[in-house]
Order: sequence, then C-alpha cells, then structure tokens
Amino acid sequence: MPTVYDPIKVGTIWLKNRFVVAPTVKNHCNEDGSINIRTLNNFEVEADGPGLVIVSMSFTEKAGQAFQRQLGVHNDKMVDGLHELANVIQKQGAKAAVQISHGGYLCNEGTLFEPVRGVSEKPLLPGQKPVPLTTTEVECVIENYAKAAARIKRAGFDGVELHACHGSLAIQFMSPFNNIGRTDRYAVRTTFLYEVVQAMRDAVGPDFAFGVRLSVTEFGMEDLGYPGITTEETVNEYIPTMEKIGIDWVHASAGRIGITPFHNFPPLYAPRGVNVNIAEEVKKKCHTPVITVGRLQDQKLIEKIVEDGRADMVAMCRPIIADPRIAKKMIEGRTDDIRQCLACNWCLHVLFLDLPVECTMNPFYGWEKEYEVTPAKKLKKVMVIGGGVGGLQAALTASQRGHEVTLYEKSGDLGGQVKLASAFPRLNTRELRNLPDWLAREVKKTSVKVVLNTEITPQLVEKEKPDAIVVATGAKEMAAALPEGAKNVVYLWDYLRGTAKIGNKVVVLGGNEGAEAAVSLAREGKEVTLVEEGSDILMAPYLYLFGARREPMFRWLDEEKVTVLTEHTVKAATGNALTLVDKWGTEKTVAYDTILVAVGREPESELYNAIATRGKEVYLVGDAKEARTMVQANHEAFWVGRHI
Amino acid sequence: MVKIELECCDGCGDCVEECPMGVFQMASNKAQAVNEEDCMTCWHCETVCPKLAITITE
Repeated sequence: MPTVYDPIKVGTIWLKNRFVVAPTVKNHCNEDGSINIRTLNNFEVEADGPGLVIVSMSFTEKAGQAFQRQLGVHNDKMVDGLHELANVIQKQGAKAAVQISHGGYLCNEGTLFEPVRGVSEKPLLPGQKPVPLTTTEVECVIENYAKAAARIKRAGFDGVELHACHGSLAIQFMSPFNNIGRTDRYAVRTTFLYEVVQAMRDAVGPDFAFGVRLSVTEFGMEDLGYPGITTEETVNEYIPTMEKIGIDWVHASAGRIGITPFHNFPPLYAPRGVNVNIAEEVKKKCHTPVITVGRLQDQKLIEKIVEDGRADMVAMCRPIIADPRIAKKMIEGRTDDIRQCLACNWCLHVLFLDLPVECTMNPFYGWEKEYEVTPAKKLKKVMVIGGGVGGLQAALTASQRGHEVTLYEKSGDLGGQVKLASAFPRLNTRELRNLPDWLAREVKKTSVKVVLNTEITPQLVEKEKPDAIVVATGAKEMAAALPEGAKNVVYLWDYLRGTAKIGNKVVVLGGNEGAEAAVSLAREGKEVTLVEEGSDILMAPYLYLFGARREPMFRWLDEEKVTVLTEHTVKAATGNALTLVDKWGTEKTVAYDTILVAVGREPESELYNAIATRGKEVYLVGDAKEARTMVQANHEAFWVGRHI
Repeated sequence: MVKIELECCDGCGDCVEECPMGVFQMASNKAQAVNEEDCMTCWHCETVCPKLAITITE
C-alpha cells in the first residue's frame, strides 16, 4: 500500500505527496475580493510541504459572496492577483487549485446590500428571507461557475475544485431540506450539481484537474430530524454520475453550516479523524482518488489512514492554521515540533463574526512576515511570573529575541489553568493541553531558566532586580455567596483536580462555566441540576459562540437529562434541599448531596498591583488582566514578548 | 502507555468503537490494548470509558 509521503496522480497532474491544504476561508483579502500581500505571505508558508494546496472557497459572482473579505474569482480583474498567488504556491513546490462557490443563503444581506438568493424561500437562520432564483438566473449562476473555472485556468493554477458541501448553493439544491417548492427542472435535486460539473468541465477542458468537495451525508434524520443527503445516494448515484462527466478527485466532507456543526467543524469534544469512515465509504465505491478531512492532525493517524487504504489523500484545514508547517514537519519526522490544533474553533468563531481568521495557538496567522520574531535591540533581564499559556509564550518569544529570561511557577508543573480545563473525567477537552505542552517543549529548547515551586513576592522581585517583568498569574475561582446551612460545597476546580467528594445528586451553580462539568457529572451517572442566575447558559468566554461548541453541549445536556434552571437564584438551604427562587418569585425545592460551585473566575492581580507601582517595566497578560480564554493569553503574551 | 484497570472494565466496548487508531480489542469481555504502539495519546478513550478505567500516560 502507498504511504502518505508517496506521489499520486490526480487527473493529469502529479502531486509530490498526499498532504492537502484544505480550502480555508481566511477572510483577509481585499474587500473587492482581490489578493493582497497578506494572502501571498500566508500561502508562501502553507505551500511549503504539502503536495496540493486548495485555495480558499472563492465566490463566483458578487451575489454569492459569503464573507466580507473572501477571495473572489468573479471577474477578469481578479486574474492578475490569482496569477501571483498561483506562482507563490507553485514556487514552493506544491500544486495549486482554487475552490469556487456561490454562497446562496450562507451570504448575508449586510455584505451584499441586497436580498440573499437561494433555492427556495426556506431560510437558514431565523429572520433571513432568501429570494428563490428563477430558472434563467440559475442558468446564469451555472455560467458564472464555468467562467470562474476558466479564469482559474487562465491565471495559471493546476486545478479547480467545486464547493458542494457545508451549505453553499450546490448543496442547497441537492438537499431535500432546502429544495422544496420549485417547479422547474432544478426541482430534481441533482440537476444543478450535474449541470455545474458539466459546465465547469467544459470550461476548463479535459486535461485540467477538477475535483468536487462534497458533503457526503447531512446527518439528516440524526441531526436535523428531517431527511437530508444520505451516504447511500451520494456514493451510489451522485459520485458515479460525476465520474462519468469527469472529475479527478472527491473531497469527502460532511454536514451543514449552522445545522450540524459537530460534523463539519468537529470541536475538541469529537474524536480525531471523525469523518474518515465517510471517506472510506466513498473510497469503497468510487474510482477517483478520495481526500479525507476533519480533525486530522496526528502523524500516526494520517499515516495509518493512507496505509490502510481508507482514503488516498489527507486534507487539513485547522491543523494547518495552527501550524502551517505541519506537513513539512511530518515529512522531516519532526513530530515533537508540531503545534497540534486544539479544535477549539476560535478560528470559526471569528470567521462567522466576519472578521479575519485568527488562531489560538498561532499568533502569526495572517501576519507571517509582519510578526516575525526579530532580535531585540537592547538585551534585558526578563522575569516571567506564571507558568501557564501566557507566561510560557512570553518567555519563549522574549528568549527567542535574545533576552535573558527566567520563568517562575508556583506549582510543581507548567500548564496553568489548562491542566484543569482539560481534566473533565467524561468530556473530552484533553486537546487543550496541546498548547501548553508545545510551549513547554519549545521553552526547553531555549535558554529560559524555569523555576518551579516558587511563589513570587514583591521582596523577591526587589532582590532579583529584573529589567522587565511579565505578570501572567492567571485567574482564581470566584466564591459564591451561599445561604447558611448549605453543606457539602465543592468548587469546580476541586472536581477537576479530582479531589472533590461528590454525591449522587449534584446541584451545579453557574450555567456558563459549570455547563461542561454538568455534562461530565451526568455521564458519570449523577443526577445533575444546573442552576443559572442569568437568562442564558453556555456563555462562558471559552465556549466561543460560533465555534460549534455550544450546540453539542445543549444536545448533551438534554441527552444526559440534566435539569437546567435559568433565572433561578439560591434562596435557602435546609437539610438536604436547596430552595431556589425564579424571577417571578416562584419557589422550587431541589434535593442535593453536593453543591458544585462554578460561578466564574476573576483575575489574580494582587502581585501586579504590588509591583507595578515601582516604576519598572511591568506587563500584565492573559487572565491576570481579565479572566478570558487561552486566545487572549497567548496573543497578548506574544505581543509583549515581541515588544520587551 | 495505555493502562486499563481490568477490575473496573465492564466490557461495554465503547473504547474499541471510539479509538481512531484501533488500539483496543475485546478479549473475554474485557478491553485490551492490543495495538498499544499505535496510540497517538489523544486521550479520547479516557473520557469515553464509563467506568473511568483507562489511563493514558506519555
């Protein structure tokens, strides 16, 4: 069997290996859709290593633009820029392709300044009013796909890919969920797909590589409660027909944006390689090479997938955002250097806010050249206080710039709050460790002196006389004001440390920071009641709103039969019962054995307040400033490290 | 290293089903880490096991 490092032929082109950069909307092109220097620099780094680079989903016409600063292939003015981009990728040794799509109702009126167009009037989000495309308009849309494909060929790319997944226009036509009420020939769900594939193939000719990215299944009955596209029809009907028209690869993804995020953007709770079995189904039936995608970040897993013949090529999207050199490092066998993606989905959260994509782990993302670490002009003695993500990143960056850095940590090991956040017994958040683990490995390679089990006092700072101090002391848990008589009170962090004794009936106070604990406890077989003062749950800063992490949590709270009480406060505790009162004054009694308090975190900033007044160069980073997430801790610390 | 507390294991087979690398197999109604060298330390099994019987150490 071939390995992932072996060449492969797709259509008429040879790829040097089977790593693929999956199409990723980076949302940092110019507003008219043209390429800028950020895009070029970004691809210059990413194209070093993998065999094929598929450039982000690009819009075929203005009415199909889904994101404010998405790449465009919608008119001939874009060809110059695309040519530059193809050049950059090909000079790095990879083959270059562009993915094209019409967003349909994935677009929003705020970007388009006109109503969103779609297959039917059925909206994706409440409040959206899509206007169905007329038959002539659909023909026009198809023609624009073909024209865009021709432009890509003209710009010098090696291939083109059709975006028919995750809810763009092609899948809206294909899905019984959306294609309702039409009376023309596009009421047959596959007409649009086949006509687009045919038109694109005709536009680029038989010798140009042309692939299709498909949502093989929509998890219809399972997630939508409504029939969707099924694996059977995709594998037995759609793909064989497209093979007859002439496609060179099938890129097998799954799910729909906004409906089944757990499958198209598997968050950290999902197992790695969550969609490989879908690619395997396709691989069994079809003759064209199959690309698999979805939480593939580990070298062993990637090698095994290709060796076992479950897929021909392996695409990575978020792992490449986290570490653009991941393929190169795998090829060179530098496994430990890889900064493995957390699947925290911060990238998707900011993308759906229509901002340029950022990465928790990779503060360079989108600013590869601008943020390059350069030697410091004046070398300083730097004291970093705190061995969490913020402290480690500040120490690493400062040390790479030549400073003499000492890192102090009060506990016995590095990692800070991540050690706790990744320790839910029955909820997989273990991936969070990837960042502090990677930082700790990198810090070890530098000259940073790490001092463990040492708590810093203002006196010690006075004695050491550093030139610059970075305070990254993190956060502590907020105490809850509980009524008299409340017993068996434990705090979330004790539960995560494994030191809490927890009875059978648990009342979790705090529906934001406590929700993950509620799921984990319920899976351990406890009877859990989740009590929240506010009107909404799961709004903790680290459960990014659009990051595909809230939806599965809601589902699991439901599945595990957790009683959720919002707008309830604790009024009294008597014996083994808590009296709760809602905003209307209605009282409710809940029996409990243990109260788990998870009302939030507050910054641990006493030390900063004590030493910042002494007229020294003192920086405050991460949760010590305000209790937020790893993103801010890492990015602020990186910023400070670059500026000391 | 994959460590399974065999006394805790109730033979539900969830680890066999969920491990992306196929590390586990069932033998006489207990999970066994037959392909331990394949483990990529994603720790998924730790959270899948209803009896918390699996521990992964690096």
